[in-house]
Amino acid sequence: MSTPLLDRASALPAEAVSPLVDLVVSLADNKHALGLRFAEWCSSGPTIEAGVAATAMAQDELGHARVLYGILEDLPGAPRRSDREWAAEDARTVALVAESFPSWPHAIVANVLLDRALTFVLQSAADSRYLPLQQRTRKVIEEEKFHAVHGHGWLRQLAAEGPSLRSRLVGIIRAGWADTLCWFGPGEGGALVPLVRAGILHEAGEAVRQRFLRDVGPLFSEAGLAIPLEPAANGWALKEPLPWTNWDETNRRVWMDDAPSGAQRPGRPLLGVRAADRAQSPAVCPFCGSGNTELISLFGSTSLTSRYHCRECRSAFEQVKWGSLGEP
Amino acid sequence: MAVDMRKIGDEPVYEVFARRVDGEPLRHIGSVAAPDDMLARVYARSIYDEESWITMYVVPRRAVIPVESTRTDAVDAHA
Repeated sequence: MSTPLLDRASALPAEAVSPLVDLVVSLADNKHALGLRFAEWCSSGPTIEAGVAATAMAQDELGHARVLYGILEDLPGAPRRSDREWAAEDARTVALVAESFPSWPHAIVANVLLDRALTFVLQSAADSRYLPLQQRTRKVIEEEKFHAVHGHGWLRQLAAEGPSLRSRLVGIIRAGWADTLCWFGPGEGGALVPLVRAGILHEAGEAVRQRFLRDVGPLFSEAGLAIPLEPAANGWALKEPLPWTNWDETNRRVWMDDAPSGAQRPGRPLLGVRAADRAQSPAVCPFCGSGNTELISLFGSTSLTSRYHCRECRSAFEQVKWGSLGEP
Repeated sequence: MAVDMRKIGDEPVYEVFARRVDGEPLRHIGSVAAPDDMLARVYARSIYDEESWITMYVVPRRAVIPVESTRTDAVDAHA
């Protein structure tokens, strides 16, 4: 069978374009959000080494998002994301990264679950027939090896701290569990099936989910974390069914409420700041004196400051939280 | 693999060695504290990334064995 490479967007089969756009947008938006979230821990990790590693991972994730957004430039009907410094209002992210990580264990679980899951999806594109995707995937996978070591090492270390931290970890993992496992798609891949058929992805759905479970299954059981997962004859079996009825194929996330579908979803908080609060920033720009500012992140270079952006002179600045913000 | 799992903040120290070009001697460039060998590698890579090293190694400080000399006492004090 001849499988010529698809070296440009116009060579893509028509049925593959829209699923590819959805997948790349969602991959990159989640990576972008992960980068911003990791960045909030640059100066707040439990050890200096951990903070520096979080900084490096933030940088990696933002870089990966930028590289993946580049694929969208050529795809018809794709949203333009490359010119953005922070998350788009319609960012397709899972709940795990929709708000700031409330604790260091949350950051570690996001690494072990979401970042790792996205890497398994990218690995299924490592030998993609679609050249722009294949070329961009290699370096990402290489850098992600270090994220995996970091995530696994920290999860083991946190779990070894004792039963109370272990039960907290289980709670955090369970909160992100459905989103992470559904991300690979139902059965043969659901909306990703046309991509597998066109050779853009090597595989999707259950096959990739099993790869992921073979990675985290032994980790969770060695760390003594009670996750509803058990070894089975041909991999790992889930003890609880996945909530496929709440799975949103376009946005690639699970909606646990009964919110209406598509664009009618309520606005989600970005960068830990709800859109309404972000627009009503009380801060005055220290550079140009304008009050036309935007709250970007609740955490600046230290925990006691927040980051703002001036819409007038485009400067970024920080402000100490007391006096300027309401109750947290 | 987790040879020395200790409380957070009390991790063993690893010395970091690297070279920039082939043939150059390994240089001691610093240290990291990490709970295991794998995380020590991740930390060394992210902390000492100002220069493009072609090889980098981490060595548990306890594996660096002082050789008897006039300075041995001073070395032991920091082991």
